[in-house]
Amino acid sequence: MCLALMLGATCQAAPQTPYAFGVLNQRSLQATAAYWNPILNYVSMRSGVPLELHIGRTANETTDRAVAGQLDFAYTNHLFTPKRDRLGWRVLARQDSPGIRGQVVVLDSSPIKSLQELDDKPVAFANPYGVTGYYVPMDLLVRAGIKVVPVFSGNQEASMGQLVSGQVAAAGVNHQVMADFAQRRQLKYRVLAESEAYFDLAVMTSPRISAADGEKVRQAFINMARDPEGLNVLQLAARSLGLPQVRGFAPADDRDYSNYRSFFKRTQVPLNE
Amino acid sequence: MSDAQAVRGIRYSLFSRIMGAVFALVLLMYLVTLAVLGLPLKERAQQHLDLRAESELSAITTAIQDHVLLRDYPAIEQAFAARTARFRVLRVRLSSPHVTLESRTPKLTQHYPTWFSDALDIRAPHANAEIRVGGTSYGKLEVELDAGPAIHSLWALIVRFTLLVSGSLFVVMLILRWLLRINLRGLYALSGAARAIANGNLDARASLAFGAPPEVHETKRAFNSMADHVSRLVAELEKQRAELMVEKERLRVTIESIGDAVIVTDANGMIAFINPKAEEITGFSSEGAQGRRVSDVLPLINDKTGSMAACPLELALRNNTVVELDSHTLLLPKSGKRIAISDTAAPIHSDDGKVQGGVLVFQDESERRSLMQRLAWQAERDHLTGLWNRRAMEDKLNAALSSVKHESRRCIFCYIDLDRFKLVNDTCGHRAGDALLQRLSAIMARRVDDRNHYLARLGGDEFGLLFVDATLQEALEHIQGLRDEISRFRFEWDDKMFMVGVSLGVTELHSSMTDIGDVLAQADTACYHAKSLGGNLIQVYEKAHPALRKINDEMQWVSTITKAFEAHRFVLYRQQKIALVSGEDTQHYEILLRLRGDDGEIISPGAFLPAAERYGLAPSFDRWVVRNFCAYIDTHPEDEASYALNLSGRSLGDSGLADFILDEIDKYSFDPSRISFEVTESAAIDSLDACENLILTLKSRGILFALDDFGKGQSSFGYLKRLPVAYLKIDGEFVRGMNVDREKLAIVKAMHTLGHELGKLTIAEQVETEAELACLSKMGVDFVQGYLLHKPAPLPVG
Repeated sequence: MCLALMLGATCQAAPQTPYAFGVLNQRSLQATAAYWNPILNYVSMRSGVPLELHIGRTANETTDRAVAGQLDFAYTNHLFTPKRDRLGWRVLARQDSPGIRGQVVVLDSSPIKSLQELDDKPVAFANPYGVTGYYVPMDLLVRAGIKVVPVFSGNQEASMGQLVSGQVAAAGVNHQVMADFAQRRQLKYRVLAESEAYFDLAVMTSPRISAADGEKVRQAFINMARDPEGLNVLQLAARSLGLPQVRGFAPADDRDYSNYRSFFKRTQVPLNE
Repeated sequence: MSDAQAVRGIRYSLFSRIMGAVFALVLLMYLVTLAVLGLPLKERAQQHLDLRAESELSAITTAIQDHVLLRDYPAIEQAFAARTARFRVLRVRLSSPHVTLESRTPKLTQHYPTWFSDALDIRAPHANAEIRVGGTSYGKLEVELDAGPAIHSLWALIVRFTLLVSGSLFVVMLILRWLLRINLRGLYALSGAARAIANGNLDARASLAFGAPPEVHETKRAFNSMADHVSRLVAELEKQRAELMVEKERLRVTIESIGDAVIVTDANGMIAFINPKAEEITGFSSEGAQGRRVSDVLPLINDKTGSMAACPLELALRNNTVVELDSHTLLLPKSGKRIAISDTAAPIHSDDGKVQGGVLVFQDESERRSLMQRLAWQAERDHLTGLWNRRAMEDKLNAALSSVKHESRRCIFCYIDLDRFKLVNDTCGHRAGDALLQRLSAIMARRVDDRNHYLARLGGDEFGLLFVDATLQEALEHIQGLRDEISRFRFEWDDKMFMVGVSLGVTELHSSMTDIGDVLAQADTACYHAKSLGGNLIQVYEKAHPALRKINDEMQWVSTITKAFEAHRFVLYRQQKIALVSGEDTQHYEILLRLRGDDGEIISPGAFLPAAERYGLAPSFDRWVVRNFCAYIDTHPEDEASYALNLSGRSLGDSGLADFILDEIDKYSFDPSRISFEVTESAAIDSLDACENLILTLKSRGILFALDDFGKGQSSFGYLKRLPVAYLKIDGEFVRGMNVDREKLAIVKAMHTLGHELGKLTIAEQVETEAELACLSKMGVDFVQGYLLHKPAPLPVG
């Protein structure tokens, strides 16, 4: 016991190496960092588990890091594909939102009124790995028998930018991201197709992380909105992105994301794993 | 203005001043502009660099912010490298707790001087910032830029500005130089003319031909007008200077030639000039005396007190008046020999009355004072014996008589007459007589103290001895001692021995005496009596003494003569002088004086003339003769003879005689050359100067003179050269018996030959025998006179 105490004291005294917390690229790197760094700092402070933001250049790269074992925690929905699901990552919490849906949108001024009119038209997607940014809207188009020319812009707002600039006829987007973008840019758009609702991205932990640390992190996340300091952090983070409302975190587990696993099992869109 | 300022003022020409002023002004404007524009430029460059650094920092932050978030350090390094190479970033560094990344590039080669960058003091632009995203620090980013390009830009700007200013200045100076040369050409002409005038070319003028500004043109005209005026003034000054030089040379020669010493000083009494005579007296050269005080060159002492005397010139300058030196002042020159001087010091005034200097004129008075002393001595002393002379004794007698009358003092006077003195004179000559007088004088002088006893030579062999504050007894004792000593004295001359005695007449002065004439008369009477008793006796005057009374009676002759003179009982006689040479038609007579007695008897001159001579009546007789003879000759035109009139010795001393004679002659119209005068040789010698003057004065009117009794005096013939007489009248003593006495014959012959050799005619008097006449005739004597030929006879009146 003494030895354990001594080791504990030693471990306590030495600076603890922070866990790599990967965030899926939904926005630019800067916006992502500006949003997530305050949150991770708060969670680290509250949970006592040091977390460090790790982002890949693209969502796929971030996912690859998770797959490669370079991440300890992740805020993602890319790990529910059949192959990645086997890595054993588990859900700790989720974005406290009604859920997200995949949409195929055009500008309100666009003459395109239906999915059929998008046939052979260029349609922007965030990347070929995004759930609501590619798989779900593309699945809508495939199931509708529409063959489009996908244009990958890197992230969802880039796709929206290409739509605005007229480089593409439509964009496959996360409905929440699109709504936020349109509000921020005073943009009017029209939804041509929309999927069912999926919970937004989940805070997940690698199977090598202890349950205790995972629980501490989970508790910190889900209590954040109720903590004035945490709420303040969330407000600052939301303000950095121009979000209309604060989005906290809600308790969640793997069951809350079973529709992801079901989608990936039945979708006709080839998976890029 | 100080001298240094004045020198600085003339060192720079107007051309240089204007050019320099414009140059300095442009240079100042350049510097001010440089400061006004350059300082903001520098600040702006610094701000620009700082902004650039901030901008670069921002750019690099932007470029690497994704890499930072991705932790893509190679990409960051690549971005750093690209950035530093492209934008001349000297150093960029990202440092975090986990990693430090840095990239550097070397500075570019400087193209501006180091001093410029040091003066500019632009700090290297540096910026840093912490890369923080969402409250998380990703490290500190630092950026440092190279300030060289900015400094180079400023340097290039300044160089261009300087070149522009220099070029502008050069052009401005060229234009200004051209303008100044055009406009100053007139002043240069003016300057050249002024220099030419200064170098002596007074005809130089400033040319009016050049075009020049009106001011310069007018100045040249004024200058030329002034030069004309100056030329006229200079010409006038040259003329006056030449006149002044002549005057100055005349004054210089005069001052250097005059016998007076002259010292000229400035107003402070410092010597400016001394003339050669002053150099001689003071012993200072003119150069050596210059700048010294007069008292240094002319130290004076008082002869009486021996104390230093005040410098008269300094007194004259101080009191601004003429100062004459005290008569007892001596000069102590460098030689140490004391020199008696007299001087006059006077200030020199300028036209406005200010004292400009002083002049001191002085003379070496040594000789004059010595002469004055000698003259004073001679005036009172007998030149032969050194004793007091008659005049001095008369003065002392006057004083003594006054003291007797007013102070009741007792004084005794003794008249001393040598016995047998004539014997010495006659046998041994005057030299022997003079030597005897000197020896006896020395003997007598030893016995007087010149305080209570005064011894004087009254004339010839007569002496006077005055005793003051002495009783008769004391005087007699003294006199007896004197007589005894003289009695014991033996005088030797040419192997001859003489005994000389003295006759002494003594009288006591008393208050009843009228004047010293009484004193002298009483003493003379007493002396005369002593001599009449055989000599070598002392006779005290006693009024009641019978013998003395008799002498007094004899002296009544004087009274008789005087009365006869007043009664016109004198008559004129004449005796002819026969000419032995042929061709002489004019008759020559000598005018003689005779006295007619109360009984009508003619009295010969031997009876009355000595008394007349002794008591000073002869001059009156001479004048009477001249007056009456002139009247005679004027009233007797038929008488065409020439006449010779005798003049006594005392008349020769009468300074008014010549005028009297000429006045008498001028009253009438006869030829003055018909008159001649005869003066005895001894009288002429006794009054040589007066006689010479008389002869010359009358000779100018044709009146001739004869030297009477020639040879009787046995004097030197030297005086003959001074006496321009026409005749030598050989003394009758030598004529009488000359036919039998070979010595007389020889003497007469010698005198005659001497007279002829001197161009004078000879007259032999007292010719009484045919033999004597034959001898004289044979000898060639010009005139003879004597009873043999013509006896004196009255003038043919009627």
